[in-house]
Amino acid sequence: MKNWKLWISSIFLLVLLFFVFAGPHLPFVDQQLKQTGVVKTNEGAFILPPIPPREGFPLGSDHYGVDILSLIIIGAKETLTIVVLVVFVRYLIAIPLAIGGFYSKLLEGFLHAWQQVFSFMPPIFFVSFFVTLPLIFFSPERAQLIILVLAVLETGRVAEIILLHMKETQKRPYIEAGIVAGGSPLGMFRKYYLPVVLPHIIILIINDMGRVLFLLAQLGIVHIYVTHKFVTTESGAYEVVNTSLAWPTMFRTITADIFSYEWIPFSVIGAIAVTIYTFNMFADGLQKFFEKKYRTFRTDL
Amino acid sequence: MILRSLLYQVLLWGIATMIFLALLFLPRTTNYTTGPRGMFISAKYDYSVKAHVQQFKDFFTYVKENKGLGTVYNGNSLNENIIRTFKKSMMITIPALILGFFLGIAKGVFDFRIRRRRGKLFGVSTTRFFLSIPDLFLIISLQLLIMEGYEAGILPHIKVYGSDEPSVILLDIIFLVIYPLFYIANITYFSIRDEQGMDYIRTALSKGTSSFKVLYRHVLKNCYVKILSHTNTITLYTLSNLFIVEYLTNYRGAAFFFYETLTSPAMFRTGQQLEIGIYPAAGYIILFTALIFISKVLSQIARGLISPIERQGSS
Repeated sequence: MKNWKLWISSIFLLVLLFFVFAGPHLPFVDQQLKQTGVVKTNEGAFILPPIPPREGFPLGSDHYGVDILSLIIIGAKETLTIVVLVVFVRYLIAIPLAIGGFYSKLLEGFLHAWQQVFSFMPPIFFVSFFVTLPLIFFSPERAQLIILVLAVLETGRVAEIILLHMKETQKRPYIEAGIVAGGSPLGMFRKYYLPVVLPHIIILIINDMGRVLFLLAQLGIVHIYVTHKFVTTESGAYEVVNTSLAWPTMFRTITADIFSYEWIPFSVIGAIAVTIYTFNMFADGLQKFFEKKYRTFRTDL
Repeated sequence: MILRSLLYQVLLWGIATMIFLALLFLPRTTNYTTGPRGMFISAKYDYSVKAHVQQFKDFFTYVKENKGLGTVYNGNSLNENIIRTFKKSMMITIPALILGFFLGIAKGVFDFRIRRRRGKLFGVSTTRFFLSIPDLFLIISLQLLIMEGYEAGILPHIKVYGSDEPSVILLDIIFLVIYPLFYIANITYFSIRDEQGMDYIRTALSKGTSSFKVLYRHVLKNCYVKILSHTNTITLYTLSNLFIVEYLTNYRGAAFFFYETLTSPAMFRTGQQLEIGIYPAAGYIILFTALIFISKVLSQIARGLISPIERQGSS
């Protein structure tokens, strides 16, 4: 059977990358994100923003009259950068931890404890916990800190999965053969473990990108964003505003929008859903590809 | 053996709860650096162990003095308030978890039985599809569809917002059940597939047991252990989702109020301290971790009942 999942998702992924890098320069994308005050229809009626989907606004506009399609395309870069950073930091910690845990009992115990503690708290609770700490709230490096929190959140889970996979590999007969043949620990790791574990990690990473994007979307709904700024208001108080163009920030007024301006939340969640689906499909396709290449899946059953 | 692993879980629960309370009680005193007329320049935050320990002491003396967590503005005790909202959340969480579990297994078995027959499109591919699409998308789409359906005159008036509407409770259960259902269905399918070709199946078949019986009596029994080991993931995910579902449907449950107590201000003045409702938050933390603890223990007991191997092995 052809691996159509891999093909389709690769094309989707290329389109996504195209939008990330070339998107802002496309003719139908408003690079300045111009705010339209009012639109006059052919019948002479006036429409105030948010403008429903119509000519010039394929997906409608937001509360300031900014074209949503342009917002989504320009916001893609920032959104995906955050996702990639979180996943990068997560695996930067998780992979050494998992490999260390495989060779050292102490690290394994530490990893297990980490995972157990985190398994007692739902991710959103945990993040909302951290972001309100004054330490993070006022920090100039708030964005970096939140990315770190998001990364650490599931490091234990990821490391445990990798460790488990390595342990399962250890039980396979060919490892014994390698030991009998006189493989040094380093050589064993490089030639016997790595080729099996690496594809597994790649699939995990891609799946995790979908998970992180999903978590960001959920956090956007409860008004937790990665970046924010303080702006002074007339009363002298400081308003916490969000200056980023990342997708989840468009969920700000979702509970009100869903009644009358349903195109705003719907286009954003649509964009997020397509992206997550692409990641997941790509991971599925890759898994099939690796299974075929390394024959890890028994087809005789 | 079960008693020992139970004790271990209790210990873990205690440690995890203490860690979360320690985080919650982090002193939040902020020193503002201000310019002329109180202009905000920066805020500094100094951590001191002494203040942190003091918060802990205050909490326990407070609980002792008030015989609970104190009262809220409407005269009810905070304890009652927390328990009432928590019960409300459980009214949608627990049915969702149980339904997700059993329907998930049913869907997994269905996927497996139909995998080489006509209609296999409704089998494992639908499961993979729903697992890959964020359920947030499905939730928002469903809400929109119900509202559009009413406007088009197809559907009767169904309330999708509110706190005490039976229709909202039902919808919330549906929203919450989506992910656990397909997650479990996926695991069930793959664990049944992995059991294929095992010797015990050949033995059972050669003795003349019907394949239906083999699947339900023998194969599934081995699969339950694998499925049950994912209880924690499912519970965590559902609780996270509870946050979103309660917020989106305006359902005033525990997650909604927990969020209210923790949320950061949308505005602040210089010199203002970012206080959060520590006492209600502490109450909610203890209850939510307790729920996770109970789900862990239940899954361990179930595993022990089903498989003799699990009874002997460690946790």
